[in-house]
Amino acid sequence: MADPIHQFEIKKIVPLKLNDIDISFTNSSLFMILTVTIISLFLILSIKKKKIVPSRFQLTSELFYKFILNMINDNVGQDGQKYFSLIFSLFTFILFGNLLGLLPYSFTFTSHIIVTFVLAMFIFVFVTLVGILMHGFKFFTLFVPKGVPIAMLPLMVPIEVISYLSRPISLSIRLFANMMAGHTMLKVFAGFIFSLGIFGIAPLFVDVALTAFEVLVAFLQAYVFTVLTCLYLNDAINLH
Amino acid sequence: MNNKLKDFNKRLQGFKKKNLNKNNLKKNKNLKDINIVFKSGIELVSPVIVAVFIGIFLDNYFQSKPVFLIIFLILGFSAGIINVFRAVKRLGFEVGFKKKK
Repeated sequence: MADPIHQFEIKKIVPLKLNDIDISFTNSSLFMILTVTIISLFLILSIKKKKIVPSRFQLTSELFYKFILNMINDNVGQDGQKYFSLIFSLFTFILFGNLLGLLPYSFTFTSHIIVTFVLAMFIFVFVTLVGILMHGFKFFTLFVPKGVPIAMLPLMVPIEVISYLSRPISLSIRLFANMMAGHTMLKVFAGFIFSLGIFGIAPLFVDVALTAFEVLVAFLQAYVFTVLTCLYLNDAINLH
Repeated sequence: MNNKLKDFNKRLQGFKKKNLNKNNLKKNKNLKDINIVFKSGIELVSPVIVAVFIGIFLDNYFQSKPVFLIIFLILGFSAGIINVFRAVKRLGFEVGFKKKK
C-alpha cells in the first residue's frame, strides 16, 4: 500500500547552502511561489478590463475584496481598514495554498507546522507591536481582565499572559493539523481502493466525499485563520 | 409611470433591507458557531504547551527541577479552561452564575 505520509516529504529541487544553513529551493518553496503567482495573475487579469457592470471574472475578485472588507469591518471596525492589505494577502495565500494542495501531484505547504507557525508568529509579533505603538505602556492592561478583584490578580495575570502567548501555537496547530489530517485521510482511503479489488468502489465514494469535505476545510481554515487575526488585531487596537 | 417606478423602488429597498438583516444575522451566527467548535479543542491544549515550555526553561535557568514546571502546568491548565469558557460564553451556554446586566 502507498505510504500516506510520503506526500508530506520535502524534496530539494535546487540544493543551496549559506555557510552551514540549508536554504535549498524545495518543493515547498516552489508551491509557495506558485501560489503567489496564481493569486497575482488571478487578481491582475480579473481587474484588467474594469467595467461598471462587472464580468463574472471581475466579480470573483470583487467578491474576495468584499468578503475581507466585511470581515474587518465586523471584527475590528473602521480603524482596522489600514491593515486590509495584510489580512487580504494572508487569506488569499492560505486559501490558495490549501486549494492548490488538493490537486493531484501537488504539495500542501500549509500541512507543515513550521510554515503555519512562522505565519502565526509573524501575526503575533505584528499585533503586539501594533498594540504597543498605539497604546504604549497601557497595552499591558490587556493582561488585566475586567472586573477581577485585586486579590485574584497575582493568579489571573500569569494565566492571561500564558493564554496570550499560546495564541500563535493554537493558530498554527489548528491550520497544520486540519490540513495534515485531511490529506493523510485522503491517502489512506485511496490506498484501500486498489487493495480491495471490486469492493474498492466503497472507499472510492468515501474519497469523493472526503475531497469535497477537504475543499470545505480549506476554505474554513483560511477563514478561521484570518478571523482570528482580525480578533487579535481588534484586541490590540480597541483596548478594553 | 414615474410614480409607479418610485413605488417599485421603495418596495425594493424595503425588501433589500429586510433580506440583508435576516441573512447577515443567520449566516454570521452559523459561521461563528462552527468557529468555536473547531477552536475549542486546540484552545484547551495550546496554553499547556506554552506553560510546559516556560516551566522547563525557568527550571533550567534556576536549577530548580520540578518547581516551576508544576506551577506553570497548573497555570497552563487554568488558562486553557478559561479560554474555552470564554469561547463558550459567547454562545450563551455557560454553566454557573452570572451577574445580570
